[in-house]
Amino acid sequence: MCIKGVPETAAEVNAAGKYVMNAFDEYALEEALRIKSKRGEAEIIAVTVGDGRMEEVVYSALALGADRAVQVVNGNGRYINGFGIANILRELVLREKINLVLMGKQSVDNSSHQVGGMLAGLLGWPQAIDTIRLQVEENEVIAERLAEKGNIEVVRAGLPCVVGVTRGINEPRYPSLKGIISARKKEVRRIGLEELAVPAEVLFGLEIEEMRPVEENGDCRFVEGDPGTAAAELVRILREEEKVL
Amino acid sequence: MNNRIVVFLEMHQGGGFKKSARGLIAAANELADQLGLETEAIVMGEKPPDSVAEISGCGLSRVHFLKSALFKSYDVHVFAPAFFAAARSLGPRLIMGSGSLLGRDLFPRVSALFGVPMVSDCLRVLVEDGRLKAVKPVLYGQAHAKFSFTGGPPYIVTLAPRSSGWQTGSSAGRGAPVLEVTEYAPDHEPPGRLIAVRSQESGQEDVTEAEVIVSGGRGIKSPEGFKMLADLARKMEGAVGATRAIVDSGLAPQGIQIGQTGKNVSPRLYIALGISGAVQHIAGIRGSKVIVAVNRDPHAPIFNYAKYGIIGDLFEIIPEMTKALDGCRD
Repeated sequence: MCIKGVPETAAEVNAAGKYVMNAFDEYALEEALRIKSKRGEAEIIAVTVGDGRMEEVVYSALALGADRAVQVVNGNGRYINGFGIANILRELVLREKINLVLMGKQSVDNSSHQVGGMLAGLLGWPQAIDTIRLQVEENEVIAERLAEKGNIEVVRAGLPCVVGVTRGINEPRYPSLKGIISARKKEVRRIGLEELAVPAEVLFGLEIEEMRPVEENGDCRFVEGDPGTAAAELVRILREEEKVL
Repeated sequence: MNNRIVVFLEMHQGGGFKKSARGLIAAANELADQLGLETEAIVMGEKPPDSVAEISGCGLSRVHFLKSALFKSYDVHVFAPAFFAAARSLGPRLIMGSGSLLGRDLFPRVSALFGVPMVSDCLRVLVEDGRLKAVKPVLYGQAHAKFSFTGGPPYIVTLAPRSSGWQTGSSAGRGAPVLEVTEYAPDHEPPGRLIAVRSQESGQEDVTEAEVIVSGGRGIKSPEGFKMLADLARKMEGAVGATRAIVDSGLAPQGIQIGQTGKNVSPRLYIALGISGAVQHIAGIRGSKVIVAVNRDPHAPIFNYAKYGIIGDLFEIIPEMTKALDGCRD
């Protein structure tokens, strides 16, 4: 399963804050743990790409029950776009002969929603992103995904495949004390970016040229009066001044 | 080669273009004018539209309609290779689609087939020094990042659904687009397939597509409160949204959750009722044009983001708003 570390929600823009596991990846890890407990023979490999800030995120995955971890080290921290990440994961999936890739449907920080579909596309595998229920059989998965208008689409996908999970699929557990203690004894293999056969133009095909904080509005206009008066005035403003109704 | 912008236009299942179509074409045309390119569209469906009048006069020169019974329902394993083959044959410089639920699912796979990166949910796509750049929200919506493509074409972007910047443009003076229909035949069996679609909830349009969203938080408290909110949404012809807290409490379904672990929305009007304004929720609504908050707590953080606010009891104010909407339209 793949993990992205994301800055803690409250972290300020550009601050090198503490990283935590992407919330959607927590559901993916939990789902992997449940599949393993049902099917027994599976090995859960937590895979991640990032710099030193990812260490704690990797250990938290191991503490929760992942069997081992592979961390691709992006030493200088240069921005790798989603397609670059998908290419890195493709290398790892082939090296480790992975059969089922579970990941969050998107990251919570940048919300690009890219890597799962790209990875599946690169591998020529089937995909089910936005999955809210998953059933894993011997040679295939049946995934229920959230679609437009609140519809559920049921997808049958042969293994190997890529599944991107969303909130609602399960309730992630907390790590046990035993888990936390054993995490430090589990194998973490670190691979340098340069050891993988992913060309630089793929990794760095997008450059962040500029990053601008979004200003808070900060000048809320309060509409006053008794409920009837305030409601009527608000509706008038929205219709006549803002023209949004 | 590479003198076209290709836009992917989504159709409703029963026919007709989705609302995102005009905005997409407008955005594409603005860029086409700057770069000296032609804008053409790819549309996929069971049967071609009776007319392209809906999208004529907005600068589109050609509509390539891919026709197949396989396109009855969306399935990425069918749509992605079909769109890829059609788009590639046009030699596009830029490919644009909507960041709708469908677009979010389709384009990453298409981008992998082309072997190029993409930028999702763009607020703006622009040309600077002859180079293509795309601006999108990052870091929980706290910042906007400007990305530039360092490699060659095609460049792929999806536009944030309903993002306010796309509504305006209309380049007049160009007539109706030429409609070309091609029968699509897949060259291989798809690796996965859609086996069923279950209609689940209210059937309201997706919150990410809605122009008006009436959204409830903890202050909504009860099924009665939620019903009151839904009545207001209906009156405004808007969609209902919810915070994580009331989804967790079982008052609202997962599909309408807005925020960090739900959906990002960018409506024209976002009405936050009984929502305190946790960072996680704010992250999902920053693209909104006008935010209105009603809350009993004058210090609720939501008021830092709202343009208009009412401090007071939801159970008194919501029915009054519904009533006010009844009165004197125009």
